[in-house]
Amino acid sequence: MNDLVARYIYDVTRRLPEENRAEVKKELQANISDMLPSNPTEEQIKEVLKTLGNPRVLAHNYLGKSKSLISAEWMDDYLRVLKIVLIIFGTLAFIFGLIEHISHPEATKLIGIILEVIAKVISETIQSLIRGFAIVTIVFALISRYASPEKIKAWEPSQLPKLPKEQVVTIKRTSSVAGLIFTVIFRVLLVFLLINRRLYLAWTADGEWWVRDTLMFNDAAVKLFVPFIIISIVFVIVTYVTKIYFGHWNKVVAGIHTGEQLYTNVIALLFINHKPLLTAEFVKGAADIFEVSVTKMQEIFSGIAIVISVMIVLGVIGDLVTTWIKTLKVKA
Amino acid sequence: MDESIVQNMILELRRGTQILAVLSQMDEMKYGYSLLQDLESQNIKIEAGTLYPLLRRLESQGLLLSEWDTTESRPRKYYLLSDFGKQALETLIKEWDLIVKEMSNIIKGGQK
Repeated sequence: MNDLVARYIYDVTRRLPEENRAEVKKELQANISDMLPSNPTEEQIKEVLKTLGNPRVLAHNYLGKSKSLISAEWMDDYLRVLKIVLIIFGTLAFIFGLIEHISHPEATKLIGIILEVIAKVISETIQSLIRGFAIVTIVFALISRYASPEKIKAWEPSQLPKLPKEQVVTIKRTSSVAGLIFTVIFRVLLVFLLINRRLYLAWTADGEWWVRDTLMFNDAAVKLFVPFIIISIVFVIVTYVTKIYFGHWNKVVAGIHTGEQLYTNVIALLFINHKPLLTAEFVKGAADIFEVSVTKMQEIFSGIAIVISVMIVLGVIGDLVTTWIKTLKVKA
Repeated sequence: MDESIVQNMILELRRGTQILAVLSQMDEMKYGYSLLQDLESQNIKIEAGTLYPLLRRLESQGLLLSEWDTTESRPRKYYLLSDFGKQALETLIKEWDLIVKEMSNIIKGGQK
């Protein structure tokens, strides 16, 4: 048999299940030789193979039903979940990679550190995206393979989703992603600062630089608050994931957002008003610089704490009121 | 007007009629290429790459019977309507007549 024909038949049958290959091969051989004159030229063979078309398409026709990994009825869910997972995985890998490599660089010179951080963060982000893609694809491949066809057929009108409300207030995906990035960076940095606790204070006094290496926060206070702040990081990630998932304000999003705001800001209030928060050493150092007594300095710190607390409370009230107005306006 | 869109619609419309066209020709033994030529001579255009897999599928569904003829120098696979295939063909023809009637009614109605 002609080499081209054999190669064509091979290219079709290799895409078919083992048990069909021999039979399809025999059929194709018969059909192709029927279509060819006796002693065909190379050109005539090519013409016939072109008529039969791309082996990939012919094999697909032999397979009949679609054998794609993700079946059509799951495709839109797959793409939606994939988009969200890639955004989350990419963002988190980027943030944590950045913090990890900036805080523990292997290179010594600045330019080396910059290149190292860029290279490592990019490669880790890509790896994380590939991992996210693989996980989502495997999960949906399993769903489309094993989801029972009876269940899909036994569909009830009650399963229909609710119509999106017309006056729905959208939450822009870009602003959610930006919010996620900055909030997580800020809170992770706070945890780093608390754990390392070394604050290098630089003040100018009489035109001179004073650099102090002072422990700012008390050990006990750090041990108390760090776990709560880490929980708040998880909480805020969950909140932004829901915002990205729904893309508009509804009761679920507003509820989670409210919970996160209350939790985080209660922790923040407790933190800044925690009396043994600052070390005596730090307070004394500050008192020396401002040339006031230690008691006076403590009063100043308490005053600052109260001002910040009031700002936090007003900020949270304002945020929650506007959030629920946005959410409930929908109903009116 | 985008020609390719309309061309696709014509293909879609004709695709549904392919099985009926094929089954209607299978009351006597035919092999793949001879069937293709029969259809072509009656202006029914179906691609070889569509017809051969279709014959195989109709066989696996029990509508066609098949037999290899190895007596000649070229072995050929012959197909013929099974009893089930004959019944299916009758039902499909009835349905086709109905479609023609309903469609011409609705199209004429639309042109009023």
